[in-house]
Amino acid sequence: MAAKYADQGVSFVFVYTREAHPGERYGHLASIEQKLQHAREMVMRDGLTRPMLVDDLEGSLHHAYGRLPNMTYVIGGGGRVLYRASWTDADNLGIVVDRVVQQRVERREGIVHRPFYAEWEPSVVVDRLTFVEVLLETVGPRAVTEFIEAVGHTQSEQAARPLRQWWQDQAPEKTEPGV
Amino acid sequence: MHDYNYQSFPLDMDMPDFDAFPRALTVGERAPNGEVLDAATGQPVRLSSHWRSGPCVIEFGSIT
Repeated sequence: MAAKYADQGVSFVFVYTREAHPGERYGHLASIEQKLQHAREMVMRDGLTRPMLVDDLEGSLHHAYGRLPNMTYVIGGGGRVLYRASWTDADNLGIVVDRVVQQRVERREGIVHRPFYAEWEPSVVVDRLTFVEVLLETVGPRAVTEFIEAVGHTQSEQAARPLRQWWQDQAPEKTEPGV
Repeated sequence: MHDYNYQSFPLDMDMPDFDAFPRALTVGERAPNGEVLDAATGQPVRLSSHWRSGPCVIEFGSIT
């Protein structure tokens, strides 16, 4: 998406936060040097071309913006929040950025605009099985067991049951008592 | 309440933060600014430098 809008005056950046799912391969952050290293590895792993910016170890900006693991904001050129979302969803964001770009074009053409306020609560597909598969591969088994336990604790055992079954099917020796 | 850089994924899945998000920072407000490190150079930059000349999309996240 960043490439699509590169020549339309919209910039894209990534701000690196705390580790949402610390585990064997990527532990919890204990130094800014470690945070920089993780951020650089993410750039390489995902082939990111937009600037990777690293928040301080205490997560000062992460706190200020809401402290969620994968938020997205659109900030206008005047420094005001135009859009904020609790999750990053490319389809939803694309709608917004298209409109922001169109407004810029129209304003340059002299078309008068007036802001209005709107709220929207879209939804995203929940695919926890794919999520834990990726989590196992990228972080390690501890991150998986902790996530499954949290789903059972916060949502329900019914929600956690397919994840527990998947986990048992992976390799019995990886499962821990009670999982 | 757990430490910011928690060692284990919290059992509450950060649900209190999700619940608070709608009220945390609203559309129309001035975006928080501060110093971040550019991972490519290791040098500090102001976050606002990225929206100075036009709209900026900021995604927050981590490798995990």
